[in-house]
Amino acid sequence: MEEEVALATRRRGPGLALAGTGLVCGLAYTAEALRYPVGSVQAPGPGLFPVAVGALLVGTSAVAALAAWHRPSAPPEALGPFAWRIPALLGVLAGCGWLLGTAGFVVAATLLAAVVLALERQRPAWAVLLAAVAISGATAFAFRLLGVPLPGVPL
Amino acid sequence: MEALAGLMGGFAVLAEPANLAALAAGCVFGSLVGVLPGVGPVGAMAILLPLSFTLEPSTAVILLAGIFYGAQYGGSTTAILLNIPGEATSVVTALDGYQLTRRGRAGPALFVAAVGSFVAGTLAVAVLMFVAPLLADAAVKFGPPEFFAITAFGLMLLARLTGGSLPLVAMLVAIGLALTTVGLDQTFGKSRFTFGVVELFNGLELVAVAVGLFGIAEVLSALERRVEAARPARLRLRELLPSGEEARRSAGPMLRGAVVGFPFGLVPGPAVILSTFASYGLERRLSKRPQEFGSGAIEGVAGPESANNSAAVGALVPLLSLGVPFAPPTAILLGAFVLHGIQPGPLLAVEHPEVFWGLIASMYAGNVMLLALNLPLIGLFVWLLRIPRDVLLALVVVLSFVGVYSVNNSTVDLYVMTAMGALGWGLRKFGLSPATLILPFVIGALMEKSLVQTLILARGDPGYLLTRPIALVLLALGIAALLGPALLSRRGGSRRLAQ
Repeated sequence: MEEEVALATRRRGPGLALAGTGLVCGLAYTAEALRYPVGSVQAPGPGLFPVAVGALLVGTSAVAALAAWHRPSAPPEALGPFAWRIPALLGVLAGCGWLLGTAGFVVAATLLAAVVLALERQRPAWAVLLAAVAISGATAFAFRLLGVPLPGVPL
Repeated sequence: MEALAGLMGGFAVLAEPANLAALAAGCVFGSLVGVLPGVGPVGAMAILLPLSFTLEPSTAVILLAGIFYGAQYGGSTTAILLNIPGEATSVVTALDGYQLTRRGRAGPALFVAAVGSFVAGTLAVAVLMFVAPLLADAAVKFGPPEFFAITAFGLMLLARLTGGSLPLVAMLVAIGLALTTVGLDQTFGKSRFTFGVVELFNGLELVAVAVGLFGIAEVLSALERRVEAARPARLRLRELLPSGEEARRSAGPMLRGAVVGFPFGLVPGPAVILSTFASYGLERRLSKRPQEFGSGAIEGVAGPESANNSAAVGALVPLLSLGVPFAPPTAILLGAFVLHGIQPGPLLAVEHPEVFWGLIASMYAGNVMLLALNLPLIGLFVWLLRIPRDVLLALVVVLSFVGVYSVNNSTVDLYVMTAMGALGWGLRKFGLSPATLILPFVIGALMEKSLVQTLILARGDPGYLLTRPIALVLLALGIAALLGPALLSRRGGSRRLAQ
């Protein structure tokens, strides 16, 4: 009996977490939407559509939570063996976004390419750096050739 | 006759060197994108969208459309050779295509896939040429209630047709609509959900959202897994020709695939993928040798590959005639139109005939070009599959990075891309499709504007909708599609309980 309860909880957990996240986001979104003038049905304001969407989000999340409780669906796909690479790349992407404005495109793109290559761990450090410089250099050249301005890349 | 005159004008537009070059580039790049697993046409189109700034509108649209339908050709290559579908639309092709490869018939399978794509694509463009202007003529009379109803109908159908839990899918649709409300509201000019960030006044950038959801999310999924390197067998050109019997067995499925696929393109969501399953099911039902399906039936390649190309063309009808994209690639095409100051919709063929007919002419020529390219270049595509995975992933990430940044020269767009990448990766974990988010994001602005205008026109009169029968019927159909199956299954369950 305890095992069954534990199994049911495990099956419900991910679905409830997803629906719960939607519910929280929906409530926060609706609360912010109510700060804008909603108007009326005859004379709608800029807040009317967001409030309607917020209500839809809250409603569907609540129904999804109920569905996850009564009829748990298949669990989400398990994390892969290299799941740690996900936050690593996301962090580097955001960081390179900041670096782009200060150090220019070539530096930011080289760092980004180097991190992706290094995460795969298929080649030595010098090859990673060489490939990263080649990728960022070729991309910068191609985009400049097409007339797209990039920070730190000369005309 | 008007359509033929328009088409002649379109070919004249296409004959310009820049447009021919864009067509060739789009077709080749699209085929590459289709061949290489992990880089889809939506991500590729979104990355190249900023580059199209410097091009003429017709050239930009021809380039991006070339990538869209070129990817349908290329996706079958890895599906047949390696049992790895290059695109989701080639999943069904892999079922019998790979089995044909194992029996030494890879060449004929590739040949039939390419010819089927060409036949269906060409027939579908011929239908598009007549259907789109007809629908556009009817849609000129549409007002805000009809456009609101079309967008609402599209989203309800999207929620029903996308697999999985309906409440979760509806939740995603709501999130997509919520994302569209960020920025200055179109009707009242009020800044919403910007929290003082100036770069968000124009809303979330489509390219950032699309590249994040489709491109970065795919890279994250690939990095998470350990994947063995693909080593496809070498193939010679002379080994491509099918036998007489294979050719005879492929003809019917190709034509049926063209007919089956086109209507699916008119429907929102994963319609192109659904068309391949529908075609496969039909061919198995009609075949005199149904037991061969799954073990290397050539019909199982010919039908689905024709259907997906036909559906891809069909997907252009709502965009070109109504200005409403029902598929993620056409959502990016809408972005291209808007970027160049063109509003697709009922008046597109009248106000910008060079863009409308130039695009249609390019699709005729593009199908010929893709047939001519895909067979001789199979050796090159197979060689490209040997590109080290880490190099390919690094290239995709850097291209995404520069592509998104170059739209507005804004680092906020890069942060949006990163956040969307994380969201897209998370959605895949739960078996949810990013398309369910991007379509409401793209059509949400039109939906809001139409709704507000409808409410103003109605002045609080609930009977106003009764004077707009098209809108009423569309809304009723959407509600029926959304709730009907659930109500029917509940009634069936009650009957069984009563018995």
